[in-house]
Formats: sequence, structure tokens, C-alpha cells
Amino acid sequence: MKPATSPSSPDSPAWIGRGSTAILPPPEYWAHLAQVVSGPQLDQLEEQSKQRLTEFTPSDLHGPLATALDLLKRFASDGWVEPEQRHRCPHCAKDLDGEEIRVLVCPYCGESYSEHGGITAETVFVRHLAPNRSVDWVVAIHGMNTSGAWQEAFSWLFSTTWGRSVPVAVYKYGIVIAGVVMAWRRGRLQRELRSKLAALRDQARARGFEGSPDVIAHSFGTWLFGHLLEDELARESDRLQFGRIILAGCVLRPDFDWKSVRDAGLVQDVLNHYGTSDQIVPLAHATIWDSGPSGRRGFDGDQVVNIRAEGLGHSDLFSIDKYTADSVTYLANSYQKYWRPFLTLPREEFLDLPDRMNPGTPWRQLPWALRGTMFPFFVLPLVVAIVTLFVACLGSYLWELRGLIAIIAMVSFLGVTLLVGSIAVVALWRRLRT
Amino acid sequence: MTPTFARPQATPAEIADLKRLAAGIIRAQGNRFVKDLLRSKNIRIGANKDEFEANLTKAIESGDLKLDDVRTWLTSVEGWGNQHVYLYTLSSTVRKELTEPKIRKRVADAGLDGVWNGETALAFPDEPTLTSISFTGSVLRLVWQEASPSWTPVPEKNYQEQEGLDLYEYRAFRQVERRAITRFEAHLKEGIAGLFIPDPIQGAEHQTAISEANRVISLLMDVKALERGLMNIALVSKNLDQQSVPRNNTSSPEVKAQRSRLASGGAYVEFAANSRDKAYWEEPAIQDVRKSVRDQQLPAFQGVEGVFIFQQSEGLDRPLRVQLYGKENRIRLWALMDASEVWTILSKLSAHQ
Repeated sequence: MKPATSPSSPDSPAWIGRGSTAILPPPEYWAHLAQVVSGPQLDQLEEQSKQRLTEFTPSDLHGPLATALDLLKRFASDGWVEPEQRHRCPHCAKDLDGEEIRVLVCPYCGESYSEHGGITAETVFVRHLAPNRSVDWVVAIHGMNTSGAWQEAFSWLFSTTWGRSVPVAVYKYGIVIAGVVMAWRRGRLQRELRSKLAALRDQARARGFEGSPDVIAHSFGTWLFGHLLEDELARESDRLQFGRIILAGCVLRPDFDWKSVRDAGLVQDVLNHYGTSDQIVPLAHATIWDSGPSGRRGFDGDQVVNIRAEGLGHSDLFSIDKYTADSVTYLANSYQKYWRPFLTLPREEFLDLPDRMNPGTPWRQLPWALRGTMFPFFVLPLVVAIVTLFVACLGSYLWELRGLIAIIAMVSFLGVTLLVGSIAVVALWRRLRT
Repeated sequence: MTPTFARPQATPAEIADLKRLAAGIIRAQGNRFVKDLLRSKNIRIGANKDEFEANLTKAIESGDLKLDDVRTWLTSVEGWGNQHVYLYTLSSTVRKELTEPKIRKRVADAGLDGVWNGETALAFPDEPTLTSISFTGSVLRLVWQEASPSWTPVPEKNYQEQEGLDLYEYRAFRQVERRAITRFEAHLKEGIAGLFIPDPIQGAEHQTAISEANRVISLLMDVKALERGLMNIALVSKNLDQQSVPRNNTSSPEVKAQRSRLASGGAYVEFAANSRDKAYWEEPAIQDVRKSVRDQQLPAFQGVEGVFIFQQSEGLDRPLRVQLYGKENRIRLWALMDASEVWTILSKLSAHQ
């Protein structure tokens, strides 16, 4: 593949022959071309190119054919497409290949080309992009202290922007707060997640979705998913396999071993979308065992596509209440600009994803005792003690009011008894009448 | 001391036969296969068509290329590809009936002893004629041959002549000696059989060839049982198309669907690429539309027709196009191929029933 390089000045002929038929032209190329050839045909060509079409003809660009042809020739001379002659038999109109046009008689209809005015030829402009990746079905996993309202919004957005049915399985494990620091609770949640994903895989296959599911996970959901993958690595058979993974507000360690997971074929590619103003993620390393601030700074190494979201907080990427300058919700912006292209682009074109930024320095973990290892042993007794104290204090105040409470209880009991008795009398009366 | 052997000289009759074959039959096989023949005998190929023909003639005259070489080579390349195929699954009952002693006896009973292991390289019968029946390596082979001279235009020899007030144009055609080969092969180990008809589907010759083949086959086996195993090409086309659409967890598909038509009741939908070398699903928007037909919906459709490009893979060292006609249960092989390529493709097709 030839490298696509920027010209030194927009109106210089520096683009000539510098494109490549294997990749899309970059935005600066279109800006450059707009200064030389403007008009609706150029806009159409740019739009068609962005849609990753692999074949262009002058008649596809509305307007005068001559200017359309000139534009495509220019596009070709800059190296983004190449002209290709298509030949047809003048009699049966079958397409002919290189060998078939060298003989004098059509191999399909047996007629002599010259008898019917000779082979007809048409020029089309083609390129050889890697095919789009196919998205089969998706799993959405929410985070802690939330019921994952974003999952519904994401699922709706996903299913209404795809031309075909791309099911989104919304996995919910309930609101978990204290459980994230307790090993047994995390382990149970992880086992439940595995069991659910295995069941979904089998159901999807039975319904004709045979591709690997892509996954989008948020916050503690990323921890559960990452550790599930580590467990899968240890399994000898019936491993779960996934497609591309999108992580947001991720609390996995920034040095998580994605290489082993990818080499084992458990996941294909990973995108980590991190917000620079995430206030939750930095606390993870000190509170949850084997976690880290990858959702604030990105993953180390070259295994993950790190996307930086400047100024965004822990759940902002999923927000349907906040809008970008283009009046698009944050969720729609994340989806259209980053996530959908990541899910569909061939791997070689990940470099074209905007706002990619890897951490400048490697992450360093805290000393052992401060890595969420001792935290539960102090924080849980603390919480229990505080709750007990609160109950005890409240109890002493309530004891003074026991007379009033007894009266309220008695009146309420009489009221309930009266209601139940009335219902029984009415029911008996109706039965006797019939 | 190492003994040396003098190269046996070809007889004048053999040279004459070879020259006759070279004039038409050898050239008709396509440059690719002729080059393979010359290369295997260490004969210089040449840079252009003239050199190529001169070297071929020289090799025949010098004895570097012998009739036996050509005979073996023709068996694998002549009459393979550029033909119509009807493919059958052989039931266990049919397979049990197809043993060499039984076939040998039926051939004798039918009075066809004369064509048992018959010589085919030099046969040029004017009418379609059964020239060989053989049974080797669990493969039953029946071959019919017909000399079918064809005419190729030679525009440089066209001329015009004025006669009185009228101008006449005379167009020149050169006669080329060709040979049409109809064959039936039953591969018992693989459990498939194929009837290969070179005659175009239009015209009576095609049906005549099928009838003649069935007549002879019925002398050797239960032809009704064979016909019951006629492969459902509509189903093959539909399944092959479905399998060829890429998934996100498989490598590049082995087959590209260049065109596929799926029918349901009184309507159909057709997916097709403009380019002869591409799959229709290489355009993202078209792939999205196609993916809406999942395995679950597939029973609602019938595969009417499809053009598939088998990519380079095990058994194939080049991409090859095949067209499937569901209604007629017919397979059209377009390119000239060799026997191995044809059977590789047919085996792959039969796996999609």
C-alpha cells in the first residue's frame, strides 16, 4: 500500500499519484480538491467515497457527464481509483474478460464480434478497499450503582441506525454498590455473566447469528468482562469468543494483558474510550482488587485503540441529555463518530479513527496493600459499625415515643381488621344472593 | 559405467497423428494447459504465439513430444471445463452395483466390448459416438466423442469484389479441427457422479446427448436410481450463497458470489456485482441488505441462479467461475479446466446440498 501523504500546499499538484486505491482519501485531500474542482459532483463523489463504494462511473455523479468524467480522471490521476475497461459482447451483451476479448468469436453466443460492430467497452473507476467488517449481534454490559439506563438508549440507537436486524442483548445484574469490593460477590457476578453470555451465544447461533458478538461495557461491567476473559484463557474447551470490544469508563488495569486474550482469539479488537474528567475511575485501583484507571488515561501498549474524550466524565459518553456543538447527543456522537466506524472498519483503517491518544508514560500500580486488597477489610466493618450506631441511636429516640407508636399500631390494626371483615361480609352476601 | 539409451524415434505415422492433434485439438485446450504440457517435457515454450507453435511442431518432429505424452495429457485436459454438468449423488444401492466385474459383464452383455478401455486420443468420429468405457481406481468413465470442426473468422482474408454494378463482400473463415467430448463419470469413493455435456443448452443436440448418455448408462446401472440422486442445484446455489456471505469470525470466504438470485413465490431478489471478479457483498450497503436474509429466513427462498467464483484454495491454483441453474439442476463451467479442477469444484458444490 502506498502511503497517503499530505501535500505541502493545497493548490500544489503534490497529490498527483500519491493516493492509494486501498484506503480512503483523508479529509485534507477533499479540502485540497475543493479548491481545484468545486461543485455538487465533488460533494457526491466525496459522499460516495465515504460510503466505501469500490466502483465509480460518470453517470453516478449527477450533472454533465463530461465534468463527471474529468473529476473521476482527476481522482484517478491522484491515485485513489484506477480506470478499468469493461468489455461486452455486442451481440449477447455478456461481460468478457481479458482472454475472451482476444479471440474473434464470443464464447457465450458463438457470434463473431466484428459481425455485430465489435466489442463494446465502458470505462469504470475502481479501487480495492478491504471489505467492511460485519456486525452480527451485540452485548451491552452496564456498570455499578446503576441499572444501566444507557443500555436502552444505546440499544434503540443501534437498532434504528442499522439497515438490518442487529440484535443488542442487554445484560443486567442489578444495582451493586458494596458488592464490587467483595471478592465472593464479584466472583458470583462474573460466573452469572459467563453463564448468561454462553446461553446468549447458543440462542444466537440457533437463530442464525453465527458471527461473534461485539461487546460494549461500562465501568464495573468492564472489570467483570475483562476478568471473564482471563478465566476463559484458562479454559481448555468451550471458550467464549467475542468480536470487537468497546470499553467506556473502564476500570481494568492499564497493563491488562490484552495481547494474550487477542492471541488466543477470545476477542478481535478493543477500543477504550476514556474521559479525561472521569472522577470515578481513579478510585477503582485503591478500592477494587485488580483494577486500574484505564478509563481515565488509556491502556498501555499497542493492543488497544485508545480514544480520548476531552473533558468528559464517567458516564458522559452515554448521555442523551447532553449535546455536542452540532446538537447531537453525546451518545449519538460517540456512536456515529467512533463506535460504529470501529465496529465496521477493516483493522488496517483504525488509524483513521479520530482522537486516538495513547498514554505518554507506563502506568505504575500502587503498593500491594493499597491496591484494593486491604480496603474491604477496613471499609466493610466501618460501614457495618456506622449502620449499627445509626440504628442504635435511632432506637434510643424511638423508645421514648413507644406509647404513641403503640396507639398508631392499634388504630391501624383495627382499620385493617374492619376492611378484611367488610370484604368477607360482602363476599358472603353475594354468594347467598346467587 | 552408466548405460546410455538412444531416444526411440517416433514413426512417421505417429508424427502425422501428432501434427493433426497439434493443428486443432492441442491448441483448443488453451495456452495455459499447452504450456503445462511443454513445460513438463522441458520443451521451450516461446515468447509469442508463432514461437509457441513453431516449438510445438519442432518437438513433435524431433520426438521430444510423443503420442503417449499427449494421450495422457489429453485425458486430463480435453473435455474438461466450458461445458454443462448434471451432478448426481450416488446412493449406496447404486454404489453396490458399480463394481468392476459387474460393469465388465454388463458391457459384454450389451455388446460394448469394443469400447472397453477404448483409445480416445485419435478418434474423430463424425457423429457423437461412444468411444470408451473404463473402470479404474473406483471411477467409472464413459466417453463419447464427435469431431466438430468449427469456423473461426479471419478478417484479414476478407475481400470485396465488384461484379457489374454490385459490390460483393467475401468473408473468410478458417476451419479449426475440434472435438466435442461428452462424458459420464461416477466417483464411487466420493459418492458423486457427473454427466458432462459440451453442446449448448439451446438446440436439440443437448437433449440428444443426454438421451444417448442415459441410454448407455441404463445398460450398465439402474438409471432411475441414478436420476433420483440428481443434485438439487437450486438448494446448492442458495446454500452456497448463504455460506459465502462473510461473517466477522471467519477468514475470507473460499467462494465469492458474483451473482445470486433468490426467489420466493412469484417474486425474486437478485444480488449481483458489476465486476466479473468481485462478490456482490463486497459493497458494504449491498452486504447489509443481503445479511437480512439469515439462515432462519432461508427456507422461504429458492436459489434460482447464481454465479460463483471459487477462490484459490486447496485443489485450485486459480479462481474459477461456475454458474448454477436451479430450475434445470444444471451447472455451467465456463473456463477450460483440467479434470482435477473440475472435480474439486464439483466436490465443493456437492457439500452444499
